[in-house]
Amino acid sequence: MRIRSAAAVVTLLGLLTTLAGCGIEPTEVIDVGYPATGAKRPGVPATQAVLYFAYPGGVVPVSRPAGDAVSAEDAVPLLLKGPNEPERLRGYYSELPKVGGVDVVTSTDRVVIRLATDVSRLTRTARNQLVCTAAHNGVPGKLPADEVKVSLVGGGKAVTDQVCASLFPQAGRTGPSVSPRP
Amino acid sequence: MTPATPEKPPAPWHARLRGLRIGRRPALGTFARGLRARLVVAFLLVAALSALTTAGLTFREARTKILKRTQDTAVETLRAQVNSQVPEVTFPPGNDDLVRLSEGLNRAGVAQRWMVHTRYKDGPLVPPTGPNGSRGIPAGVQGKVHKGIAAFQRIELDGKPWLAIGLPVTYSGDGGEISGLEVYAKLPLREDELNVQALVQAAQNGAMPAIALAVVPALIAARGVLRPVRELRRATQQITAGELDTRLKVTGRDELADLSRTFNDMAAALEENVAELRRMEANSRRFAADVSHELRTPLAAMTAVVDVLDEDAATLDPDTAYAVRLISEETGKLARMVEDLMEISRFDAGAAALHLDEVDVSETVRKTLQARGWQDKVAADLPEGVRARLDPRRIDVVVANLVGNALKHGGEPVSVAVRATEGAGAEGQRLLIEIADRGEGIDPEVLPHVFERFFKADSARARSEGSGLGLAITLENVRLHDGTVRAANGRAGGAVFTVDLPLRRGECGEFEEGQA
Repeated sequence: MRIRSAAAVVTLLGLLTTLAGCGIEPTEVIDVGYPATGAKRPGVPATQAVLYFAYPGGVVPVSRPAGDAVSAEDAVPLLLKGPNEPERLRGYYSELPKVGGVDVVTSTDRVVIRLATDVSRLTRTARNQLVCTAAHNGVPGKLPADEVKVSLVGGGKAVTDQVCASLFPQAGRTGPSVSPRP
Repeated sequence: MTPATPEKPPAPWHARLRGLRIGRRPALGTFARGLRARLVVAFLLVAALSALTTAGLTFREARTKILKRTQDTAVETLRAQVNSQVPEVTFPPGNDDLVRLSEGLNRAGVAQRWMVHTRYKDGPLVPPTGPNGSRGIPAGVQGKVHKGIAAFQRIELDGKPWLAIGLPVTYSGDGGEISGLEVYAKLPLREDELNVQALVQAAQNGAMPAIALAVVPALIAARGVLRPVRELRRATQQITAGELDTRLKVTGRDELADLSRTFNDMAAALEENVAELRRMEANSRRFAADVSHELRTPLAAMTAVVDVLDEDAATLDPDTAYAVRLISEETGKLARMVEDLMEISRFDAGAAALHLDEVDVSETVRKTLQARGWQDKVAADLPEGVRARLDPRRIDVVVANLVGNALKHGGEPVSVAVRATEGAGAEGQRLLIEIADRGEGIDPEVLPHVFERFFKADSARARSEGSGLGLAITLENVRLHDGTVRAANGRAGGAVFTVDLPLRRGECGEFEEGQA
């Protein structure tokens, strides 16, 4: 009886100490799944979509790896879907409204984007997002991306011949001008 | 009073048992060691053990889950961030590229509060970790990542838990070829630690009320067990007090019910045996009484004849005269013995009556000594004015027996003293009659037995003048007065017999009764 009581008490105390001393223990090195990926192989042309998202103070390009070459027709719908989770975590957002559909037509050094919304009411950042995304993805022609002209049409309004002037337009350079209403 | 232990006269078993206190409450110490306390303690131990075990297991499980979720989330988030940001890095990256990537990753990890270090091939960590690489990324993780394996490790820095994650980066595409870019993140697990502490607290807070609540079933269980035990005890006490017809009510079929049944069987057997013993004892007493009664008539005739012969002995020839005197002597002894036997039988049958009379005790004792012609042999200390209600005939027998015994077996001088003591408390006043001799005293081994019937202090002296019943009759007479008689050895040697009687005075009224 005495021995059994003593054993019970010892067990109890042991349990109490275990419970009280339970913190977070260090561990060994533990393998955790697969590596990260997405590094650009040097010398090999990247197959990626470059999307411009809003960031306090302007727009920034975000590269999204893709299996094949990405054209402006592919990139603009991706842009309209907004930033993905990691991009949102980086603080990027989109000022573009949710619109039903988009129609992107490219010709030599030109892109026409038709939206189901009044394009004259888009914010400057939103316009820059569209223009830069369209210009920096696959567009026929030989002009550099900064000189590709992009027109936005929608809601009976048109904003024509925009160029992706700068990543950070407030840094001394002018942004795309808005043409007068027809 | 002599310093020797006074020996109480043996009492019949039921009288002795009746002296036990009935319904005694257990002391507090007994309670602490009692069944109830033990049951409560056992319940508490079991409750504490189960509560703590449950709490402990729950805690371990929860802690594992919390940490696993944190780790998985951190690794997944970091991997997604790296996947998202690495495509913007030009390869091979320079130091500026690595700084930009690290900053970008740090910015994205505001929620996790991680600190990112990157490295390309065998270059240094960017930004650099603390001196000697301490407080940085554990070497084990770096080794794994260098081999292209994503890994993490929980470490402790300054007593705080941290999580170190290492991710190698592969080139885009299906090949999974290691690019040489390595991303390390280190994040504090402080919130998890707080969560874990909250868990510990919750477990402890939960266990304590559970343990406290265990007292209730413990007390109920204890009551269930203790009630039969209490009844058993009460019944045992009743049987002890002589109520042999006490039986327990048997309820249920458990071990305690079995015990009650066994107790009832025992009580029945005891009752039967005691009845049998009483019957046998009564029979043997009646037999002794009958025998002595039957002996008396022929003995009376014999005594008469022997007396006649004894008177004529002078005229007979010497041999015949010797024989006649012997017969006369032995017949007288036989007659005395039969008288004593009949007296004892009367006590046994409860037929001995007490005829109380208020007398002067000293006077009574003096008369006894004078009647036996002992006044010259005995030093009497008899103070005047000690009056008591007692049966003078029986006190005479008591004093005569004790003094005669002292004269016969002890050495002279024999002294008799009468004293009245102021009794304390409930005892009241006592009357003491002390008979002391200066002989060799009584062997301490035989002291307890001197009042037994036919007991001979000296076994070698098989034949003695007495019947062997003298002290037994003395004891019965004293007991009839509700008194006691003690035998002891005096300080100065010799035996001291003390008769201790309650000192009753006249106001007690007529007191007359048979033996209790």
